[in-house]
Amino acid sequence: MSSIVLENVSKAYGDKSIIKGLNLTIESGSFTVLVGPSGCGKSTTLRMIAGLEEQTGGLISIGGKSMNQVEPGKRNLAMVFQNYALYPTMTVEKNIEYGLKNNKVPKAERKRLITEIAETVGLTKHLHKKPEFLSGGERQRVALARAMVKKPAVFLMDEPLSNLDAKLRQQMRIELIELHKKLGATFIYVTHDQVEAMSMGTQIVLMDGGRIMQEDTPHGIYNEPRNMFTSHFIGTPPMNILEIARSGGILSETPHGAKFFGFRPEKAKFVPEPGLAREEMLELDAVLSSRELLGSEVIYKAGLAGGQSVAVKCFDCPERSLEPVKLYVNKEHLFFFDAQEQRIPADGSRAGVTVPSIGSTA
Amino acid sequence: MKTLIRAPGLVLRILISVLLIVIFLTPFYWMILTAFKTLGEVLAMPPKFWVQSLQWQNFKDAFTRIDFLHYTRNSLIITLGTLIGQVLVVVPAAYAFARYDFKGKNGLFGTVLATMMIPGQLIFLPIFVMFAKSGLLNTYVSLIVPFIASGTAIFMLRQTFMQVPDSQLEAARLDNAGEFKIIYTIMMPAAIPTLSTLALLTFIGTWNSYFFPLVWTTTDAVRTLPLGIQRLQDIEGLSPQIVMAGNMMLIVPILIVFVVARKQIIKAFTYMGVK
Repeated sequence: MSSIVLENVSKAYGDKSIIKGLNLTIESGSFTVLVGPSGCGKSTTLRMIAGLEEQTGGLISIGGKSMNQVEPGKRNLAMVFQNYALYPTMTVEKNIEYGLKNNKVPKAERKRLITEIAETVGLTKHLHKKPEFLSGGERQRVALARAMVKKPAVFLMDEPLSNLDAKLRQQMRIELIELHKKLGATFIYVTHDQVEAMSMGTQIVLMDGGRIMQEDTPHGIYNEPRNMFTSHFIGTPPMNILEIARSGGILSETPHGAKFFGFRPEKAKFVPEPGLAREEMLELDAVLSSRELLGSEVIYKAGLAGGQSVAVKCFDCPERSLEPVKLYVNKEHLFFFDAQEQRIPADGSRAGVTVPSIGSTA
Repeated sequence: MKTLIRAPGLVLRILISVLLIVIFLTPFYWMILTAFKTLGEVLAMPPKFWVQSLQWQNFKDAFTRIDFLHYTRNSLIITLGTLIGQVLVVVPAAYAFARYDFKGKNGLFGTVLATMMIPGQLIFLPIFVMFAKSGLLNTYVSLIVPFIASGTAIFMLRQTFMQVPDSQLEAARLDNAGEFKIIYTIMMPAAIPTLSTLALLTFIGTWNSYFFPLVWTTTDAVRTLPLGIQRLQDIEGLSPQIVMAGNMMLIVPILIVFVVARKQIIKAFTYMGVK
């Protein structure tokens, strides 16, 4: 009903190409997170969906209707900006009312909607204040209320939580997830924070250099990264990637064409998994060089022979001194990548995964 | 200790302030004083710095010696006409310069800035000839239209408009607001300090305008109050108290407007300073 389709969309400023041939379908009712490093084109994509930027080529449609000639205000969407973009000269009430007024909603109806929404987001006692007298969290709520009151089919959010402090951000994250469930609208959320993406999205679109690197569920993007970029971007600390040639033949057999292999930091163990044969494990000689305590989990940095290093994450484990150790990784948890940094399906169990072509043409 | 160090600076500052106030206020005081004197008091030597009784008669004389109402009405029409015209022209122009990219924008903006640097005395004659040829001489139009597209106002307002964050305009566009609605509901409210400063400058400039009404008119039909006061000076030059009473009536509206708009003007200057 309100699914969003981008077909072969590109965007360039002058001869500087930002987005090249982007194809993306955002399902109606999904919580889709566009994530990627700064400059990857995620915000530009969002702004093109909003109509604030005109695409240089391609087609954007919402609910099956082409949006190429439609004004931003007539696309049945609302946007929450990073800096909230509240109207400073208007009270909270007028801020929320502005869109309704422009859409010619009758006065009595406006009054009712504003009262209702203020109740929902907890702004009732602030309705007559100007934004400058509100705290960051309250401004955030005004921005949300202003978007929600229009009852749009699509919510666009451009890093809406990045100006809040850590605790409030955590709380707003949960509120946004609940809000999405309650409204059933399509949410498109832009962030550079992979934790935010993983914790909030039902669908994650990872972008880099104006291209989509992988489009998947949080589970899929973490467990089945299609390329080195994805494996590296998602997860804290990122996946350990090692060059096979520099690893001194510790791997007896590698898939054809493999240049790199990797494993998640939490898959490296200090003791072999019980019941696992020696040939099912990768054994690494390492020297622990630093330790980061994060409460229940500890992250070690370990240097390997050949100058490479890996991170090791363990939960509820006794503290270790920084000294030479042996690390064990179940070979099932190894990922292989070719020279183009694309994932090579490891064996028959992952036959369903094909080598994607995205990003390889660059 | 602290107060000891600061004290000399503070005393000096207060002294300079008082001196400046005296310098600025003395002519005003003298004008007001003279306006209430009798001719005898005006001519008294040594000069008197106070009056025995207020001579309201001076104001009555000033009011009747010239057609005071006629000049005042002309001044009002020309001032209000210029103000309204400026809002209609300057606001959209400033918005376009601040927010749009169009071909020839820089050249056009440069031209606007250049108009600020051309002295009016240089072009009043060609304009006079132009008005004479087009039959606009001695009309209100001739005293309003040349001042509507003020380069200074366009420049200052553009600077203010540029300080409004893009995201606010984008939010408004997503709220289904058209360009005029954005100008009226987002931009102008954000620029109130600048707008009131500009309005005040225009008001003072037009209300006090002497040179252009003098050189661009050939009859009394549309002449303004400053010219009326000049007429008073011509007639009553030997009675300074009457001329000063006329002067007082000329500046009272400016003082009232200034007092009303003072807060906004200070805001405008601090606003521009901070950014």
